[in-house]
Amino acid sequence: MANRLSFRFKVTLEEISRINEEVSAWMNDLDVASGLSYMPQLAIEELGTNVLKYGHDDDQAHEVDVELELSESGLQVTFTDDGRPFNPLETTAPDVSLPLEERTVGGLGIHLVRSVADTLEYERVDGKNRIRLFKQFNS
Amino acid sequence: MATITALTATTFDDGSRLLKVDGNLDLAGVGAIETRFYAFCGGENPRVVVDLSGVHFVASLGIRLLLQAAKTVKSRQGSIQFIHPTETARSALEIAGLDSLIG
Repeated sequence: MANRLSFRFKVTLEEISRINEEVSAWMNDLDVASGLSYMPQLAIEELGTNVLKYGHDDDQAHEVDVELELSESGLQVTFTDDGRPFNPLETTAPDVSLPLEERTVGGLGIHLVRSVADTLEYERVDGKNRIRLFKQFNS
Repeated sequence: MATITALTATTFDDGSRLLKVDGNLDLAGVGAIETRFYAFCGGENPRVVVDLSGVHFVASLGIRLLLQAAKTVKSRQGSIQFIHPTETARSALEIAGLDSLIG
């Protein structure tokens, strides 16, 4: 069993929402458990908005590639963009144990993605960021 | 088409408020409800209960909304509770360190 779905799209808020609707429909069709379906949609929204906000100096919409592969062991998501180098593994997680008064409200996106995925790999290839996430079944 | 995220707010006679969110707490969903959501977290000693049984996706903006609401309520000497979270909402609250507010 291996099912694949891939997209190349220009990153805008509207496109991120549209792609996530398609991903949601694809996973519903394949009867993917809700615990597994959270990761890809979260990754597309968080990594997509990250590229939109911080990836480029210009105001143009840039293309990204997203590939989903559902196998017998789990679900892999590969997100590729041509923005400035960004390694999610080098980001510092916010301290979520602080009292509410001392907490800042930002910086949670990458932390969420890293926490929801079982593994995250990063490489810079041909001037592009490639982030590969994997979520095992029953994890 | 995606369903538009909705906020149903009920204010009880004792002044406490129940906020029921239905839909995704993503970019579009948070944008659709945040102004009203924050409005119900204002006033003196606000007592707010947020029903998350209809929330099936939570992105960082959704966590930001809930965290900001909790900070606002706390700063006004009020209380806030998140009830009936879906599996996904519970997972997001745990990762964000807000699971102590699940009632």
